[in-house]
Order: sequence, then C-alpha cells, then structure tokens
Amino acid sequence: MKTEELNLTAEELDELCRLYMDCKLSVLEEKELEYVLSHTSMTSPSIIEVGSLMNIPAIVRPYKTSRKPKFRIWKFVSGIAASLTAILSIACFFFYSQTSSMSDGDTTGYIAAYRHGELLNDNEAVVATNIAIAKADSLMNLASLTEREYMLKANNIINETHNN
Amino acid sequence: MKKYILILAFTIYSIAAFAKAPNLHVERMFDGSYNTNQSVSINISKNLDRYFRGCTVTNNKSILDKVSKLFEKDLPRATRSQDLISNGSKFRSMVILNNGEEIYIGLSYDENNGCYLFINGPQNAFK
Repeated sequence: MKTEELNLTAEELDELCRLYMDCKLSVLEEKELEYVLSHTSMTSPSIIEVGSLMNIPAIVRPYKTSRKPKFRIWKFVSGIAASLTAILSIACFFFYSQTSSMSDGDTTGYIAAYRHGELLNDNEAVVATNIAIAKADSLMNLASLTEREYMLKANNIINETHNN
Repeated sequence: MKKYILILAFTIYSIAAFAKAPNLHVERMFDGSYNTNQSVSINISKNLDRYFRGCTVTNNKSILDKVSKLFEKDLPRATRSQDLISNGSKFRSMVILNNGEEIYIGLSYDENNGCYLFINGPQNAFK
C-alpha cells in the first residue's frame, strides 16, 4: 500500500484533497490520505490546506517557518529604521538650531565686525556696521534711481521716435 | 507606534525641506576665513527683521577677483540683475528669491583693486 500511494501524481493528490475538502472521502480513505500527505514531498495550495487541517507537521512546519521569520525580520528591520530615522531627525533638528544660535549668538540682535583683520569691540562694531548698512542702502537707492532715470530716458526716446 | 514615529520623521523632514537656506556662493566671504585678513573688513548684522553681511576689500587684486567670481557664480540664480557703470565707478547688483523673499546682493568696485560686497534681505530669506 505504501508504495502504491506514494506513486500518486500531483494531480491525483490534488483531486483527493479536493474530495477531502468536499467531505466525500470515507474515514479509511481520509486516514490513507493523511498517511500519503505525511510522506509526500509534493506541495500545492490544496495539499497545504488539507495538511494544515490534518495538522501534519511535515506540511505545516515548512509553510510556517518559511514565511514567519521573513515577516518578523521585516518588522524588526523596519522598526529599527523607523526608530533611527526619528532619532536622527530630532538630533539634526536640535543640532542645527543649536549651531545656528551658537554661530550668531542672540538671534534677536547680533552684530560683529572686523576692520582690516582686527575684531572690533561691541560699540565700534555697531558704528561700523551701521555705516556699512547705510553705504549698502545708498548704493541700492542709487542703483534704483539710476535705473529709473535710464528707463525714463529710454521711454522718452521711444516716444519721440513714435511721434516723428 | 512605529507608524506615528515615521509620520513625525517625515513631518520634520518636510519642514526642513520647505525652509531652505539660500547657500549663496558670496556667503563664503563671511565664513570666518577672511576675518583676520588685513585687506578685508567684515560687517555682520542679524536681527529679527534684517540679515546683513558687508565685506570691504582694500587693495588686494586676488581677493577682488575671488569676490567677482563668487558673484558671477550666484548670477544665474538671480531673478533680476543690474550693471551700472558711470563716472568711472562700477556697481553690480542682483536679486535672488529664497523662501518667497528677496535677497539683494550688491558689489561696488573701487579704485585701487578694492570693492564693497554686501548681502541684504529679510531674515526669513536666509532660514
């Protein structure tokens, strides 16, 4: 009997499993199917399903062991990745906020000045920086005025050309 | 829990990506390497409203050339620029948009291999 059952093809075994699922096998046939499944190396969804219903370790165990660890490893890796990302994000946030405040001191008002390589004291730095800002403002105003002047000139020339 | 941590991390990244520093080439003049150079005077001012950097180069052609090159490197990013040459003086300026704010960069050339570079804009443009 042993060799006979083990010579079943995959299709035949599938068919037997389908009959088992439809409750069309006798108790004896079910026992024989259980024996065959516990000694077969063939696998298919119906064999695995019937094997798990019959609680056959040779069929159920590989199915469980091949899937569960992968899922656990994925969960473990994603958990670590999520935690590291969160820690790095928070660390970066605090690091950059700290370095920016360290480099420029008080963010509400910070002035520093060097004149020909020498660091000026606070009062000198304020005066020198105010002069520098005033110079920049006057240059920006001059540029704006000059641009407007040239635009007016250009418009006048265009108008005169049209009139002529 | 992990889902919430991931959401938090992405939120922080999104905020960091939204408020981006302008990373201007001309800012290299204010990284500290020229603070003790005798040909250079530096002015730095930062308050709640305004961000200002000023750099005066006196009689130093190599630094003058470097400032000009840095200015040129930033020029492609400018939304508008201007070159004024009148009465022997030359002034170049450009406006760069960052975080929705305008950054004004000016470069005025003096006689005797000198120049005055400044960066000026609202604080939000530099965050």
